[in-house]
Amino acid sequence: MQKQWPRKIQGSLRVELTGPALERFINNALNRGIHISRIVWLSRNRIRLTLSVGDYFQLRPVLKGTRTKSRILEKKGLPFWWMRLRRRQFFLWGFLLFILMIFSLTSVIWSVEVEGNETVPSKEIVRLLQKEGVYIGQLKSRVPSNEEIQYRLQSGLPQVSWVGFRMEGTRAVVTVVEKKRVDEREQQGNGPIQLVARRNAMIYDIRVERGRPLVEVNEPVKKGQLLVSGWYGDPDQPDSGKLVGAKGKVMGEVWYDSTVTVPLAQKRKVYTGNREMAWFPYVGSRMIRIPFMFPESFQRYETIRTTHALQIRNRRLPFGWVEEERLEMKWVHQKLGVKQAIALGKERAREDLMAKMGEDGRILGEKILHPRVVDGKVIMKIHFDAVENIAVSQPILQGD
Amino acid sequence: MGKLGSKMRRIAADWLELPRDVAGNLPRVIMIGPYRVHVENHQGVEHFNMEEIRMRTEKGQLAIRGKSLIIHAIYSDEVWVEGEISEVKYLG
Repeated sequence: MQKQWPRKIQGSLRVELTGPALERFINNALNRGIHISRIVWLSRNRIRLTLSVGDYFQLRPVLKGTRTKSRILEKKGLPFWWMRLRRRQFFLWGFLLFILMIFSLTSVIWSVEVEGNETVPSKEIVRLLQKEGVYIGQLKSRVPSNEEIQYRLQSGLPQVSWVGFRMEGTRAVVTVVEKKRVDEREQQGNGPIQLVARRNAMIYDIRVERGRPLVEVNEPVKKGQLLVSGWYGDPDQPDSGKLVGAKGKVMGEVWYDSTVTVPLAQKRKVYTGNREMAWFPYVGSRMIRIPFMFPESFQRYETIRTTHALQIRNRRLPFGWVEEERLEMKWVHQKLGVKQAIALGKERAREDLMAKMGEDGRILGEKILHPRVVDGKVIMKIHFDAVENIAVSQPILQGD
Repeated sequence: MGKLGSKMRRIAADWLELPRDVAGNLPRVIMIGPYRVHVENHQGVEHFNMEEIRMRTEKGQLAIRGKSLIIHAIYSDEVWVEGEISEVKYLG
């Protein structure tokens, strides 16, 4: 048994021997160190035995010496298997090609699916995925990690509360959980509310549609103070009247201070007007840059790339060409005067404030307090006098 | 191995109280059930057919008799016979 296993690798032969002196043949073979196994007696001058390929070639002098004739019945083992395989090369190549094809075809995304969305269009999600590098024909190895895609999708889709991304074989699946859209109007209909002050302010204007105002114009209010009650009826007994809920706007005069810093030396990008075009082929998501073909002649430039995918009947193929437009640009340094800088700072501060206050806000006036120049920068404090809606709704808590 | 060598070994084996088969070239026969026989230290096959295998040994011929015997493996000093073995006998 101990010499049995390498035979599988060496290869072994089943041989039928015919001759007048088979015992002598066996003894002679043994003396030459040949290992014989599974000797089966068939008739007086015929036996079958198994030996390794190497030993078979040593057998020739022994066969001649004992006038024995050999006939190979069966070839077993790796070398014979290999020989047969070489004879069927087409089969081998086909098999390799098959494995290669399985590997290459399974390493590509074949479909992108979106599930769980009702209001967000699938196309939008697919478009976002394409930006992240997940599209049909993309190599799976080039897809970023699930967490990264989830994070990017989540930030790209404010309408959804959760995004899950996973690869299922060659399928990219995005699961979306949409936010339950709660309409503000609906919320107001749901429960009665009252309006309270969002910040310290002086009342500028009251526009109440429903409810009973508790403050008057030009009255200063504190943050959290009740502005419009949702109860009709006797003000002294607040819980006695009819509950209607409040609705309206309370405009309050608010003061803001903001500190603005404007550097006197401004740096801006300017296009020089020179441009050049270049074209490159691409496969998958990889662009093939052909060296020396479209040399870059500008020192500083911006590129605008447009991809042109080849199409077959509305299906984008994963290759095509990229058109690259290079626009030369340069930095322009600009010196501002102090007055100009102050005006610029004021403009910026105004924009910031308007964005902060929302649609109802408006600026009544502003004052620039002690502008000073420090290290080539103008630092100033701007005091804004603004009017904004200070009312926020608060549900009226009722005892059952 | 000459005659003198084997004599020397026998003496050495007796003196050191070793079993004779370890020292000498004596055949060692192991039989497992009725279906397998190992013979070590044989000196060649004398006769072989399905009913009988005769082997040369130091102590004369050793015959293994039975039905449908095959030599499962054979090395220059060891043989392994399988089949329905009924008899293992020294022919002297």
